[in-house]
Amino acid sequence: MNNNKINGEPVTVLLVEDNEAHAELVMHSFTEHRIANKIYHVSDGEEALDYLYRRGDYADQLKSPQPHLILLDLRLPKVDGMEVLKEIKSSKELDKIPTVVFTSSNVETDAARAYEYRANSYLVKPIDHEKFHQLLNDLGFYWLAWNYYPWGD
Amino acid sequence: MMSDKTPINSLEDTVKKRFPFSIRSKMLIYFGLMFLVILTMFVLSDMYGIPFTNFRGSYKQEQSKVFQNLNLFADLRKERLKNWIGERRGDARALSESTMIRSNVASLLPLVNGVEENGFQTELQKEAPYQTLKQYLNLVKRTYGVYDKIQIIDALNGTIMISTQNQESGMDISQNDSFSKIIHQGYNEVIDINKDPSSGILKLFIFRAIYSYDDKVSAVLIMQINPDDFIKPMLHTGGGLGQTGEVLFVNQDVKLLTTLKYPLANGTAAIPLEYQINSKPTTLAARGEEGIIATRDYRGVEVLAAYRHIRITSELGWGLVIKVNRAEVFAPLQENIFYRSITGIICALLALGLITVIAGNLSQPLRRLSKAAREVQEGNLDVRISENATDEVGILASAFNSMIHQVQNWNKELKIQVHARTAELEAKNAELERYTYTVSHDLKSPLITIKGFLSLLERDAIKGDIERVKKDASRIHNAAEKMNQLLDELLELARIGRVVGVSESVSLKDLANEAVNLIEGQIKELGIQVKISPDLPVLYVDRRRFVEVLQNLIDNSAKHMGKQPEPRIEIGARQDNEKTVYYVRDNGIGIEERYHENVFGLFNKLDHKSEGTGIGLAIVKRIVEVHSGRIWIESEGNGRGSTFCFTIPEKGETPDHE
Repeated sequence: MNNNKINGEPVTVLLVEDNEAHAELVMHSFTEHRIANKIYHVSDGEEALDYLYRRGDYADQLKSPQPHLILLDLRLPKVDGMEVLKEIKSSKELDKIPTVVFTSSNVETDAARAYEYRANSYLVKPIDHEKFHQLLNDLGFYWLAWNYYPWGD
Repeated sequence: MMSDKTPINSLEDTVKKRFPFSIRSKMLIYFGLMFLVILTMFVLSDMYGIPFTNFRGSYKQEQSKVFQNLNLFADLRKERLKNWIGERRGDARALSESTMIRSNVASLLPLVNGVEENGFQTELQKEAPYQTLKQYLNLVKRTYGVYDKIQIIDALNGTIMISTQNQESGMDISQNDSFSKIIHQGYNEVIDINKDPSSGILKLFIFRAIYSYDDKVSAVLIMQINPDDFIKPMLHTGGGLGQTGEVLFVNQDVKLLTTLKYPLANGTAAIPLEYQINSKPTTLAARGEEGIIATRDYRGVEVLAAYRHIRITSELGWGLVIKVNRAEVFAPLQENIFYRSITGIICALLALGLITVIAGNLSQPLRRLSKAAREVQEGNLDVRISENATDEVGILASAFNSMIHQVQNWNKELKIQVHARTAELEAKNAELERYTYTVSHDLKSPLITIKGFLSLLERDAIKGDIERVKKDASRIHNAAEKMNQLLDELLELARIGRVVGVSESVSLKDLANEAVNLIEGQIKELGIQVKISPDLPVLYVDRRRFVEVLQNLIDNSAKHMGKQPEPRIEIGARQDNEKTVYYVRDNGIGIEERYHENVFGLFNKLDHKSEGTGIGLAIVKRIVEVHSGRIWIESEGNGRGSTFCFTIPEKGETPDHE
């Protein structure tokens, strides 16, 4: 990917994932495909909201900029992924950030509820690594390169 | 809760079809019939008497009264007639035996025999004895006023010598039966009712022999009476027989002696002496019998009659029948019955009206009851009936009310139970959903990790990056281990509730000691101080499961000690509102209040870095709930430790539902 800047800013992704191994796999794929300049990883719902609202450790805007894409797992400690999604989509500041649910759950009610809370996409983690890798590649291109979004200034 | 309308309506219809009469109309019919039967029995017994008793009824009474009257009347008439006839016979006897008659007849007879046929009367009338006799007879006739004619007949040739009727002198009556009887058969007296030969009118004749001084019948005295002038009035006067009363007078041949009051069945008037009355009382009376009878008369009309025989001489007797129409006798009685029936019907109508009111009154509470029952049937359980009545209906009403009250209570209870069960089911459903999620998510996650790092491992191996290979392998190993642990604990969770052990009484102290022993290594490694209160109560639980509960709680506390320099765990019990609350308290990181419910959820972990699968506390909760207990967390938040509390019902105590 050649253009990895949006509005002149480095492309930033917030990865919300409690599973360390999975987070490592995602970041590995993103790095390999050079999808994003910066990937911020948080491991529970509370931390994700802290990051987005720049609370506590995440108060510095330069160190924790607003992401261009949120990858959100559903099963999270403290605050559940679904709660995080609801919070993002009901916030004036955050609701425009494309939020993609990335989970191992293929339970229909989860998908239905996620869309109800206006998730931009619902993706089930493939068990096979080839596909896992491919999905992240496609996902990166789609949301960060092809997808047009009125970011404004 | 409203049931469908249609089956209720159709039920009502079938009820109407099966029970077409209401209680009110039934009572009306029953009481009406009863009243009618009583009335009829009363009237009938009054009229015709009561069987097997002395009460003979008004018909019989009236009849016997009438018979009594008829008897009295008949006897009176009979005596009067007999006396009168006796008097007349006395007249005839006195006259025939008087010296006046005998001497003059004796002087006259030789003169008659000497006179020629022609001019007999003129010759004879000139004689002195004739003159004397005729004057005497006329005197007698005038004096008595009873007799039509008085005659003296010559015994030898049967000619009328002297008669109070001038033109009859000289007539020959030698062929007359009565006359013959005296002359030829030696009777001194013959009485007969017969036709007067000259006028053809029915007359009573008394023939009396006049004896000469040598005791031979020299002449015959005839005294003639018109019965219509004397007998008939004598029989009929006196009253007391009513409109239809009639006296029949017959001779021994049952031939009529007086005229009849009514025409015959064929419309003609009966002719005396020729018409024979064939009715039973006249026949019996003529035969010489006496008595009373209820029969039909010569016209065929029903009558009550008394019949008498009037014996005059050994050979002569008359029959006397006094009768009155049955219809006339019973007319007042029938009128009586008519008025009584009218009164009875009016009474019956009044009674029916009264019964309607009474039946309405009696059935009203029942109707209210059935209306209320129908409302209940339609689902309205708030219906109540007034329990004012002090009788059985009141009892029924109060029973009905308490029944509905009971039903209402049950209904409420059921609703509460249904509500509780629904909530329980919803909770179970949510749990099941989480379980499904687990299978699809938590079990899949390690697989993704394994596959992903196997792929990376391959690449790193090719590159010869040993450090990374080692790291990849370790990731794979951990994921596999995690999966193993998950499967074990899932199985464990599934077994709780399905495999319920037998409850026994065990001391909490023993349980705590056992649990601490099982994880002693971990506790020592972390340098945790465990304090078990000295006097702990006894629980009635499945021992093995509760060791697991305490083990999990201690383990959970041990894992969340944070950076506490003096980690401590305390196991004890306290009294809370008369309930024993058991607790496991630590001085670890604590739990914020908003997460208090979450921690018991399956696979819920507050700290993603902490070990474990998130099943432990779910298992604890499940075991406590299987024992009908309750578990909750008390913690003042971050860094202030947490207390896991639970209650277990005592042996024989009912579980508390909240």
